[in-house]
Amino acid sequence: MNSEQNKQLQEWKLKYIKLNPILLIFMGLILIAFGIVSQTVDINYEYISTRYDEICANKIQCSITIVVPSKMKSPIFFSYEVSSFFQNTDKYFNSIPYDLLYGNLDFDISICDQYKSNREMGKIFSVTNKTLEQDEIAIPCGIAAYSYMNDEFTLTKDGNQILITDKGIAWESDKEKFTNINLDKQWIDMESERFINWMRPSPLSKFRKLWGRIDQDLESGTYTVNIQIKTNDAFAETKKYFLLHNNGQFSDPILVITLPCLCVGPFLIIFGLINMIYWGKKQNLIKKYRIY
Amino acid sequence: MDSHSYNNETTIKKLGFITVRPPAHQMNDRSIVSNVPDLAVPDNQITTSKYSSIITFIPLNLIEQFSKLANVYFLIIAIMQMISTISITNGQPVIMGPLSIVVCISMIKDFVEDYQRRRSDEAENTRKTYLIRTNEPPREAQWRELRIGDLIKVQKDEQIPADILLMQTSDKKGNAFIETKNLDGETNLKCKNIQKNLKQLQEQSEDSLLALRMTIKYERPNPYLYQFTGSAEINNQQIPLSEKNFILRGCALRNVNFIYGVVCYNGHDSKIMLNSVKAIPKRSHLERTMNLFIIVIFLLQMIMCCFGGFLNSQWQQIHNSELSYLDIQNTEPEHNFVKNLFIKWGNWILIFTNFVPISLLVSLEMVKYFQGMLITFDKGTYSAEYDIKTTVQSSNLNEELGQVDYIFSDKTGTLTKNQMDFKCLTVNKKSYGKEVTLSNEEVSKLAQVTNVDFRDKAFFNDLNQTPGKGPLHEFLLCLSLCHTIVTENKNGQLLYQASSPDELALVNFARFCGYTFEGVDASNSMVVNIKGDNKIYQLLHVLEFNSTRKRVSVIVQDQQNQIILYTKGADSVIEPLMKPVVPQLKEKTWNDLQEFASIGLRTLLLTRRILPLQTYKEWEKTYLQACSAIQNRDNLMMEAQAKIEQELELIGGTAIEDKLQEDVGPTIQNLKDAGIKVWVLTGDKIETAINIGYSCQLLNDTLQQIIVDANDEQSVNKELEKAFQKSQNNNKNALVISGNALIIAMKPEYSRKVMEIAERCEAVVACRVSPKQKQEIVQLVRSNKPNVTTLAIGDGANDVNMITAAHIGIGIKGVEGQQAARASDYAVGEFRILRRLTLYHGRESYRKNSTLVNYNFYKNMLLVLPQYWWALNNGFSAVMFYDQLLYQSYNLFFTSLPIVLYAIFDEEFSGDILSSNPNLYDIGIKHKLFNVKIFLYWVINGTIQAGILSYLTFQTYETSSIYNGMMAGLWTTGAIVLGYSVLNSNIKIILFSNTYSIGVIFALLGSVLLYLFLFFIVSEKMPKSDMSNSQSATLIHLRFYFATLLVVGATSIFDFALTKFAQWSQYDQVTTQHDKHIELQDEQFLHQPSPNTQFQLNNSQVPKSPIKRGYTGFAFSQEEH
Repeated sequence: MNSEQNKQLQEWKLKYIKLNPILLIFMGLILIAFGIVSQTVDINYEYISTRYDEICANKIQCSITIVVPSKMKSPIFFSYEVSSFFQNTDKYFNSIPYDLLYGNLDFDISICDQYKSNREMGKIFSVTNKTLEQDEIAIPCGIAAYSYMNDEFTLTKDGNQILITDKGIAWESDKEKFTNINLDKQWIDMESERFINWMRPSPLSKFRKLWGRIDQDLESGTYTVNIQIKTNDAFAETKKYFLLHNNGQFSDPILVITLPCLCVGPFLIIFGLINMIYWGKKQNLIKKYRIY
Repeated sequence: MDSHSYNNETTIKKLGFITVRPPAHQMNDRSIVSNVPDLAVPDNQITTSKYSSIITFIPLNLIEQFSKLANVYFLIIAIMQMISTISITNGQPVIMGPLSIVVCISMIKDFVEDYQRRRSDEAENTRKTYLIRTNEPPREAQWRELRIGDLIKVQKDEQIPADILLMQTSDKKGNAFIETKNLDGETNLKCKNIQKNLKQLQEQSEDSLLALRMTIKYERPNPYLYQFTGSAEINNQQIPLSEKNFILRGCALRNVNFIYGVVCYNGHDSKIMLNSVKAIPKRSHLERTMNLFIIVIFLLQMIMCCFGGFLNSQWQQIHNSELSYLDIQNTEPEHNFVKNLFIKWGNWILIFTNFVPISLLVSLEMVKYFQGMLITFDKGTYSAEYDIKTTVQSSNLNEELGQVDYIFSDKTGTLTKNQMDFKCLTVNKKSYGKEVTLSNEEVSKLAQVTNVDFRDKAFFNDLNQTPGKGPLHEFLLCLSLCHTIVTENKNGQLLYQASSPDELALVNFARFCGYTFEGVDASNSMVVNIKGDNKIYQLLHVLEFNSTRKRVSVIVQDQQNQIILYTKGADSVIEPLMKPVVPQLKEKTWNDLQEFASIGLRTLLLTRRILPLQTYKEWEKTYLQACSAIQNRDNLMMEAQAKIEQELELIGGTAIEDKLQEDVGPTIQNLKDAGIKVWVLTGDKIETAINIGYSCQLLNDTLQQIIVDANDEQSVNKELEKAFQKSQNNNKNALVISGNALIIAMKPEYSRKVMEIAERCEAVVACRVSPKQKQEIVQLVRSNKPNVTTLAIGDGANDVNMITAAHIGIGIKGVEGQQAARASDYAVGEFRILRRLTLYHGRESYRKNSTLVNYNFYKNMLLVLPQYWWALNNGFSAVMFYDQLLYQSYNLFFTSLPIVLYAIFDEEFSGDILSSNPNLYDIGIKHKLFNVKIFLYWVINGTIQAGILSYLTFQTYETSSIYNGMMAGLWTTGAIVLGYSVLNSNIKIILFSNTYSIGVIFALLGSVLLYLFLFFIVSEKMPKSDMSNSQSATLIHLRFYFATLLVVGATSIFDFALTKFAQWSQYDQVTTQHDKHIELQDEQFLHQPSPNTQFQLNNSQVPKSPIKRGYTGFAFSQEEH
């Protein structure tokens, strides 16, 4: 290698770039800033969670009053949350017959495990209220469909029902894919966005699904939530909540992001500064030994 | 004649379709008839390539690929992936993707290497030669066509296509000069000749040569380059044939217009092919440890997977009642604890597939290759003096260079230049050469010669007093006659070609004094020009040097028909053969020799004997008989030679300086400071060795010298005991041990003691050792201390054993030939390059390759373990939340390139700093960067980081909606976890890098961008994918970017803090040590007597080493053939 090439090789190395302390301090500052900002931006954020499975135990219908402390601006989201429910086990999400859900009857029936026929699923009437053949394949079938969380909620204030729409609550890409086959043979409308949301497996055992949205502001005051319990035995051991929340910019339970940010940030800055001081002290050494 | 009648081949074994020839030493001795090609023996084609064609390449190479443990592991994984009960990939063997890419890269590399070999084979096989065969017109034939028994004609400057027996040359005397550079690297010409009794062939025409039927009997093929015994039968007369009549394949013909020869050995039976050793692949310490760690990781994987399976079974037992919706029936495996455990175990193994890093071996190989290239390109490893670049022949030892504990060095040609300068002489109670009295002007009037450093006017004054007679005349005459030098006339200038630099110095000195050896004329007479007067000496016999005889003799007949034997050799060898000498003369001569030896000069004794005609005639008869013996010829000849070398008269003694190479002293000093133990193994006698030791700073006065030298077992035992006591009392020792003592000390009962003594010695010098002993010493150290790394450096054929025996072999390409360089792992031009090679390249390679290996484990922890941590949420039910395409690309595309570039280009300190600061080398010797502790640190670090990463991501993405109340879902969050793994493992490189090359930065950015791009493809362009729209749903939100910062900040915080602090505290140490080092050096310069690199004959400067009488002797630099 001649000297020219050698020089090129040397130039190829960006020497004397001290990325670490700068990077550290920069990251720390951003995290702290973000921690603070996340608190202030979501100042109007409201989040009301109420557990109802105990109150409504052994009932088909029950109602719960909730208090909205301050005015909530639209859009407001109505979600339900379940805990100790395992959508994340392999057995569970391997039992989602995507082909069937996407409108294709020609699929591998073994996916549905022990929930293949209408009888096994315990379904008698179709969406259009026709009687279903008990021995026919249930549309849809499988564990996930069987354990569909189909409790229904209505929200009233002073006797006036507030509209909770189920439009625009599922992922666009999912909506495009889910296709009905024959409503007379289906026990549920597979294009229903609530159903689509349920079929999207959640990774945690305590998870939340969007049930509907309210496109009007909610004044502060007392509201009544009427719940129609329709779920089957799958939810026997499960805690159920419904929640009313609006759109948080960063997160709903604020502590999840803010707290770690505020904890990690200062550490990064401290380490960065120490590195910086150390580096400054070592300037002579750096010159002498070409330590980068 | 029936071609099978010779029985030159023993039975050919047949193994299926492949025929296997017996190894050379199992074949029969050969017998051929000239000009009758023996078709039973294969032709002259050679194949050095491993694979004969592309069809056999694929299966054979595949077998080789899958003999690697890692590949077998992944193959088993692929099979497991196809078993439906445990498969997590719907029975698709997805691991085959990355596995086939990795295997393909290796195969392509093998193919390219093999293709190059095949090309060079083809070029060699299709070279042209002139073949003359019965019943065929003479023609240009390809080399590969030649059969044994064929007659060929080779023109000047052509290469010899096979091992041939000389039949005719264009030279009238029947001589042929050949250059053997290809064989042994020596550039001097060697003379071969037609057997005297075959001289009648010289006059015959090509046709009559062709018609000649001569039966030639000779040995079976063997690898000994300098041995050929056979006999020819012509007209019922037995004619002995020797190595002198025999020319080897690969030599080039010089100075002669053409030769004819009969092919004796061809193809793979030729000596050059039998000498091409297949290098045994050496593996570095790091690699061996790495393989151990791979097994450990594999076991860890098995245990973790089993644990996962166990936890899942446990969980199932507890939660089955809650999980009624899963409707697990009693017949299903989930209910059977043990069955479930095994199934889940299998599932987990498949999820953990990448726990053993698939790309590790390939990237390590690639990195080492490029590191090797950088070593070659480095200016510091280039020897400008000899114009030799360092070549890397097995780059897989790069990091081993950074961990050397012991260096075994040859002396001649390695520490010294192998350039001999004539310095001193002692004749007739007077010694000359100590004073510098000749002026430059006077020197310019004398003959201009090389290899002489002699400026003593007294010698010329004494010489001119008695011109043509007297002891000085005899002395110079002996010098100009007793040698085996070949002359060459180039542009009217007389050039000497010597096989030993000692001889060159001696003959040149004679020429310097006006006794010019002009060459051997047509009538085999030596012509010596004594001050313009040509004297002719009929050369009768040359009794050549070998390492048993340690002497050379010539028998000449002068113009007065007086027959004189001149012998020169080591004093210890010559002394018993001498006539009694006047005691004063003997004492003076021996004292002088002792004095010469004590300043590191090589001494030599010159003697002669005037032979009565009768004695000579009688002796010649027995000698010629011995020469024509077919069996045991060498021994018979030596016996005969010893008979005539008796009753020798003393002429005088000479002393030759062996020049040290540049910078040998500082290099050895630095290597010693680095904590490396330097052993010098030399054929020299003790004094010379000690003095060379002083001049190259291996020994100094601060070291207590322990000398072990004895010839019988009892005294060796006693001396060892004494040495052991001495070494226990002192911390700074140097051991000097002689070859004879070593033979005994090598016995198992003593070897432990020797090692214990050597352990406490900074330097060890072993004198008078044979090549085999050199190897034994290396093996002794290796077997007694299995964990150390040994490095052997040498330049000659005698070092090959040692070089191959050590962990790392370094060959010096130099005067003594290429054999050592060819057998070595690294070939360098000079000894001083060793410093840069070990202290800089070795250390840096060790540091970088350790990091590379650790990092590869770490990054796969980061990939695999988030799933394990996450499994806390779902009762370890063995779910993989990554998209398969992205997951398999992780090792191939997202994290492979930056670490490779890092390992090639990163530099902690510049080369100059490292090679002058030996204390920075200790990381390798002490295994500081690659040991169980460090490995555990990385593994635990990776485990914790995977946990943090997994926890934070799932918390930020799954406990709240990502936008408009919507939830992310398993696959989307999985993709984000993978993204953070990619980001984190790339950022880790920034953390431990010392220099940030543009390449690394671009590769880092590229890797992350590539991930984003593939993520984009999968999520946006593949609507069928589980995670479609994931990217557009997550990346447009600020949350993603802040979560990124949070995750990176939280995972890297300890790395940031710890790695840099560790590094800087190390630098702290460096400064202090460095400053101390400089002070120490200065002190040494002040206090230490200057090493004897300059020739000064001041006795007070000679180190006072306890040199005993009786050691003086001579070591020829010439090696045993």
